[in-house]
Amino acid sequence: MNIRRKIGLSLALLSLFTGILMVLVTNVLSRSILKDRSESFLASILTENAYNLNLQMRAVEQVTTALLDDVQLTYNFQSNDDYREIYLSKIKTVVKIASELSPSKSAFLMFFDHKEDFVWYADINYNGVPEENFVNDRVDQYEKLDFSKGSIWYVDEIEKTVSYLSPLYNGDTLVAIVGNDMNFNMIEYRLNLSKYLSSGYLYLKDENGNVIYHPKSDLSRPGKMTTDEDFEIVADQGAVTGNHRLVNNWIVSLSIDSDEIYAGLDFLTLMTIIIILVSLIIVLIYSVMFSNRIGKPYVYLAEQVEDVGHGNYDIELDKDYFQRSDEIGILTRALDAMIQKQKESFQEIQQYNVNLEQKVQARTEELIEANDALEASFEEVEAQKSALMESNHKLAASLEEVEKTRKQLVESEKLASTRYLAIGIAHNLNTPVGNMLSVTSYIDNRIAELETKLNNNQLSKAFLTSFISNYKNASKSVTVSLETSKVLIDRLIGLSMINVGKNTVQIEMEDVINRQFEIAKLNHPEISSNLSLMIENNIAFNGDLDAFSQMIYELLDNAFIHGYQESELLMIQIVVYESKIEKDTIVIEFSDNGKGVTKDVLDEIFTPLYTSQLSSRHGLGLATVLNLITQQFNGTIEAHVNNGLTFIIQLKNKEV
Amino acid sequence: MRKLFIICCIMLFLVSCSQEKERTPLSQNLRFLLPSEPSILDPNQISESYASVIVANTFEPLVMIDKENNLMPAAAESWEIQNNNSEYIFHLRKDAKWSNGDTVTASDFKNSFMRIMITSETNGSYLAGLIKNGQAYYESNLETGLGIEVLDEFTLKITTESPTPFFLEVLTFSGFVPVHNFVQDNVATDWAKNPDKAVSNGPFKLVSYEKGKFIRVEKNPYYWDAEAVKLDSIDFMFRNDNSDMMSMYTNKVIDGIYEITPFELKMIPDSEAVTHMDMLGSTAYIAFNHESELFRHFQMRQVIALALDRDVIVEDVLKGAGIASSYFVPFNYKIEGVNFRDYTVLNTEQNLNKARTLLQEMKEANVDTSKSVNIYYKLNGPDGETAQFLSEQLNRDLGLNTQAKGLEWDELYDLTMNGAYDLLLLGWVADYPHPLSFLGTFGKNGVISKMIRWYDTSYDLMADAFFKNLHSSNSLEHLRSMEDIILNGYHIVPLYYRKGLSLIDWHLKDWYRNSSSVYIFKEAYFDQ
Repeated sequence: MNIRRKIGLSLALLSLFTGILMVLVTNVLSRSILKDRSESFLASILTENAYNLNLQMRAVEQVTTALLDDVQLTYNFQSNDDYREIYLSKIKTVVKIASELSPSKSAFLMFFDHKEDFVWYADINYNGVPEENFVNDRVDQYEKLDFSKGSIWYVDEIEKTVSYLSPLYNGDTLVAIVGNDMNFNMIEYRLNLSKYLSSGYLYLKDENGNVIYHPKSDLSRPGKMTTDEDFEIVADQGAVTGNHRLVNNWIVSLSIDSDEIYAGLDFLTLMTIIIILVSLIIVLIYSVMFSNRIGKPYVYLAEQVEDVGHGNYDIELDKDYFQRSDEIGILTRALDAMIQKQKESFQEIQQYNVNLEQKVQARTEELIEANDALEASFEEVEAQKSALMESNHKLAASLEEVEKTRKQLVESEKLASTRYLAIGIAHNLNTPVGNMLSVTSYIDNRIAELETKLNNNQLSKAFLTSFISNYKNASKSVTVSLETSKVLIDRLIGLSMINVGKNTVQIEMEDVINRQFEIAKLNHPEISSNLSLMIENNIAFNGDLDAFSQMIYELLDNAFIHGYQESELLMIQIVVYESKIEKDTIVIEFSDNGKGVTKDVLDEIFTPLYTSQLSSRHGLGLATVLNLITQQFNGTIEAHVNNGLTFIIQLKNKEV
Repeated sequence: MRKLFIICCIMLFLVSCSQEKERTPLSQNLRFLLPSEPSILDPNQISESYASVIVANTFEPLVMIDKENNLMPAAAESWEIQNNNSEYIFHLRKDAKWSNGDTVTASDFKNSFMRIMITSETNGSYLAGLIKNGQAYYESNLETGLGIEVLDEFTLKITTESPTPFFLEVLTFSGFVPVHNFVQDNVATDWAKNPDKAVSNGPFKLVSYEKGKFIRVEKNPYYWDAEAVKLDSIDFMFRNDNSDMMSMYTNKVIDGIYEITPFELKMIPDSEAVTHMDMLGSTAYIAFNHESELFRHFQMRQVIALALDRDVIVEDVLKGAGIASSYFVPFNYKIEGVNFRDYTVLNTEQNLNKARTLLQEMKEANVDTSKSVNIYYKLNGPDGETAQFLSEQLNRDLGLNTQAKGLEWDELYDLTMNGAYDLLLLGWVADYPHPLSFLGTFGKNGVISKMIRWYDTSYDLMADAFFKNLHSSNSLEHLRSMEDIILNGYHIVPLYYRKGLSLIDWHLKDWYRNSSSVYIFKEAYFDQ
């Protein structure tokens, strides 16, 4: 099926579908609108009329009830006929007032046992004023009614009256009724006022659905209400009926024939169908023409495109289509352009194929070149590597030189030490030797004087005594100087005689240190001092006991001599613990609260015969300590100034 | 195409939707307009009849009057009458509760009755007169031998001074209800207006009080018969001078009006259908100040009595809202099975000629009958038009100089108690269904005697004789002769028996107004 037929067929189908839909929608919508309108109209007419009827009925009921109450209260039931006559004449006013209050302008009181005994007011002349009236024949009718459920509404179909009747009992005996005629003319008049279309009349039914009144009795539709609500709309028996319940359970209704409601609807449907058929024919004719005009160029173009698809690019498109200004023109021109483009592209692709091989060749050559360059750079890297290795060797050589230089430096340091030692020895020996020289020279002079006196016989006992005394003194002075020199020499010998570990024992450090402190204290009785000693638990140290004792003593002695500040308590703290860094090593932290030393002094502190108190001591203590530590215990010592002076000593443990 | 289809769908949907309607459930809240704001709500001390409506629906006495004007059990489930109507044993409901949940006990009743005797001059003296040794308690607080005994928590025994067959009727008075323990010794009455303190034992309880506007009571959940109570709440609204009843009713701001005059009724469209006209135990009368210059003369009072045209008042002015009568006690009551009053003998005839003759005699005796006289009446009540008519009629027919003048109740009450008036047009409403509720207003403690400043020892003796059952004739005759004393001396002049005109939405069902003209809403509900 080509496009021309498709377009034609779809147009025809579309118009058919639209037509059917239109018929349906108009039908449903109009039906629903008609139904809705009718129902709301029904509801509003019924509600309004029911409200007005209710008002009147309520008023009638209220007036009657009030009248009944009055009679019940005022009537003496034990009375006789005479009494009743007086009573009726008295109650007349009350009944008359009741009738005036009633919307129907009527009220009555009627005794049964004596049918002449009643008082009756009604608006007979319809002038709005109740008049006294006599309606004898009703007594017989009312007597037969069933009042067992109390007050009732009663319809006299012949007389066309609607009455509300309330019974008055004396015990179980029905004595009288009070009542009120509702003006039926008024009800009729009201019901006749409203009418809807030709069949919609308002009418009245009792609670059982029997029609009480209908303006056109042949149209009446009896039927109970189907709901407990006060209002309902039901659709059956070919009619839509609205029912509204009244206070006395009567029903005011309005029925409209369904045919009448939807009367216009069939015509509407017919007209719609005709319109649709006509439009369908028009659509068919038009679609044939239209599909021809629209479809033909597409069919032509499709054929051309198919040709192109088979690789035939030499096509001449129809000039007529080419010049058209509509979409066909655009399509034709576009197709032409496409064919041209296709042609060009085909040629270009052929050209490309030729070029491609040449390009691959060129590229291969370029790659080989790049490979060569890469190899050359590899060699360069190799050369750089060997140069680096060479310079590495040079560095190692220079390191050896540095080591050599360092050794030289140590040697020169030793020289410096020796110089200090020489200066120290000279300094320390200078005084005693000088003393001895001057004493011996003085002695010589005195001996020469003695000799002269002896030779000249001038020697006196006094002179001799003085001479002996002087000589003794001089001898004593020489002895002191010699002893001083001897001490110095002994110590120098001691310093040189420190030998590596003769007796290695386990040292009881606490005992040793305390003992040495006692000795130091004895040697410096003028200084008050205090030792605080802390030794880590379970710590054992093996080494030469004498060396250790001497080291401790020298440190303490140094503290007493150099650390002591006048009139202060010398506080010495010694803490001993195992090194956490070096294996088999103990650390002794020795500190005092003394005056410390300056930076210059600190640098020379371990130099032999260097002392901060020139001439007061020999400057050998700390040098001895250093020697002992390095040689006996293979350890180290550092000094820090921290308030006083602190030494941190590390000693290596030896095997026993 | 698709759009068209969607539009069609939407239209169909809209058409189908427009059919649905919703109904709102009816609120069970009654809004009831009272003629004015009650001055006191303490049930033991109320004086205004419209306050009884509130009390009767929030408190419950031992016995009540039902729809058919018979006695029915209320707080007392049952009772026994012994010893020739002089011993009453009440068995209280064991499930009766106060609105705070406490149990209502026999002691509550005993203490409250004693409280009434101490705090209320009129009701108290009346109750004291009936109860054995009550008089001694009333006068000198002597409790010994008082005829109220608590036999157990739920049994109360009341002994009367003498056989009193109508004692149960007396107890139906809405003032003879119990108040909770915590107010026993409290003379103050304002607790009853305080929602926090106003504990009650009836179907409803006070929840808010807005001075000058309304009080709201809500269903009391502890009430023993709470299941029967269908209204959720009642707003008792107070009418004031600015209240436009007509617009309030037609705009559905209120559902009912306690009291309305025929004249006002005419202004409300379609009111016939919702108007209720109840014969009340109430008599409208003219009261004379016996100390007034003019009306201390018997003859002058007689002139007024003869000149009245009661029938015209009832027909034309009241439009039937009353029954003309020259007697004070209405015909709602029977004594020993016999009607107290005969409708056919109400003696309402006017005798203008005799009145004029007597007036002439007065003038000749130098009584200044041209003195300006106010006929006072209560504003917002049923008497305005009657007072106006009376004034015009007396001026026209007798040449007197009278003016009708309305006053608010508290003003009127002060003026009355101070004796600063000549004529009053008032109504008396029965507290309980018995002629004594009317005749008891005269005598040494009678409230009307106090108002008109007339006391008569022979009347007191007759009253005493009745209470002590010492009268020679039967009770009916004895009471009628008491009434004769009042009427023959023209101490007051009754005009008519009142019918209560009230307006109540017809959707409100199962309410009633008892023979003491009290509205009972216990079982009322709104029907759609």
